[in-house]
Amino acid sequence: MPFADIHGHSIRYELRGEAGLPLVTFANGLTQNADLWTAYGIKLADRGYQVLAYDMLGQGQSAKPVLGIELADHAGILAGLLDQVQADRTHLAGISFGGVVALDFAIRHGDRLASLAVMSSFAELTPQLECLGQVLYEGLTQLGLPYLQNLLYPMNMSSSWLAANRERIPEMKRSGYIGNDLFALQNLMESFIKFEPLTPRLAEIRCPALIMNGEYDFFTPRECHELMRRNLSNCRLLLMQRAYHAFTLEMPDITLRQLFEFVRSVDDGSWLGDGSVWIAADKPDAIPHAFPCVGDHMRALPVTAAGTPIQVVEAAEIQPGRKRRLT
Amino acid sequence: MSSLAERYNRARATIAARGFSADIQTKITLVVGATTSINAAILAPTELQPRVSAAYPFVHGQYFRELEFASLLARVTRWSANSAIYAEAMRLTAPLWGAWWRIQSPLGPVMDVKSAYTALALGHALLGRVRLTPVIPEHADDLDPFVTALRRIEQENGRMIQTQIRLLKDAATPLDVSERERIVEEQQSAVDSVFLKFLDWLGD
Repeated sequence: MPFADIHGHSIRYELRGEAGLPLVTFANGLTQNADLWTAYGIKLADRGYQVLAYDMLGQGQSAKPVLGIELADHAGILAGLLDQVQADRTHLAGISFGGVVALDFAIRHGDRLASLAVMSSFAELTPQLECLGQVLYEGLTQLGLPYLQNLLYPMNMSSSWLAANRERIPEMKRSGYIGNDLFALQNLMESFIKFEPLTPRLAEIRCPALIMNGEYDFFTPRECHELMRRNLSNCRLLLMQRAYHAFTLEMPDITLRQLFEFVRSVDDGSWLGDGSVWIAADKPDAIPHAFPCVGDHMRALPVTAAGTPIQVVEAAEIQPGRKRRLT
Repeated sequence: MSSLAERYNRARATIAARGFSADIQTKITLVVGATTSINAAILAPTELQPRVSAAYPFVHGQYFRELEFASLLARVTRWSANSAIYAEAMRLTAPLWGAWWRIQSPLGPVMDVKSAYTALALGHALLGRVRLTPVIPEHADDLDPFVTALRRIEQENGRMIQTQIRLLKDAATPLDVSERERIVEEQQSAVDSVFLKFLDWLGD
């Protein structure tokens, strides 16, 4: 992967696909890097897009400033990188920390965005998120990077993914450990000390915005995404079935399909940012790719339209092969 | 040029094939022992200063922890009889001792602000960039005293570096930000250069 000098920082990036095609840019989350978007890049390039992925400042093989990074620096770096690859406009997708950077970029450089996809992210630190962030910070500084990695895996991934990848996880952790530096991750976390909530400025974002939230994401739960849905003027909220925080890693095909349908609808003019809530189909080739969410999307319990919780009968009362529910 | 990950992988593969032999243990101890000794040498003058600052308890703790680690490694190592390893380790770590020596002149970190900042930056780079747990093979014996010592040193480095981080970022200094960044990058490059060669040596 090439490196670019952006504002005095060395930034590792990869640009895939033919020049002149619509550009999709990916912003990674904490402890991640550009390599995790490789499969997305290959498939989107096959579907007529140019794809830009980069190691965010302080991560992967990009520069890791010791003296600190302001959150706003990331938006400036991305703008500089777009200049470097001679891109005036881009679709921008960011997950978790990268989602915050994407929101901040949209506020500061909205004229350069064709669309915005914010995944598993937040516009402000809710009290719960602030406390979780404090725990992660203390874990990193008092117990070290391996502890943070050990904590993030079960927070980000499902039990089934953890079970299926049990053999690979030590190697993945080692790779993550080599690619990240404690002091650099600490700097990224400390950039939130002076973090001003972006929520009051979300109305400034005019481009189409897709907010994506995993059904079981307890790291950045529904309330974080609902704040964005209520304050972005041209958005939809898409709930990813059975997904945890890092669904871009756990279910890449489904995520890619949703992102592709989104950018395609923006590019062909069929996008409708009406603030509605949708549920992503749980298969990558399903038609339609998403369907409207009925009921209260803020609840974890299944609730009927009338607001009454669904009563589930005792397991012993259910005959084998039959499921029954009382409403 | 090999990436950092490739260098780590080669070193780990070599250790997995040969085990933590006396040669490998000696290589590691001579280099890691040098880094702990250099950081201890950086911190030592604060023990003699009459003034005790808010940072002193942390610096004091780190100083003695580094001494502990240098002696711990020396004790748990199966030493090699191959004199070439000792000579190569001296050659490899000489630039780090050189960096420490340059900090001492002309006034030294106690009298000179820039030297003090450079000393902190060198300590930060030693604690932050010399990381060896990725070379420990998957199925290494966790009760092996050498393996235990390596893991313990690295975990403790993550805690100890907090002192350098806070002082580099937050302590009042007349040095402007660009000068501070230049110093930090210079020290980090010096340590990285040695450490990459060290990984290659381990992978031989």
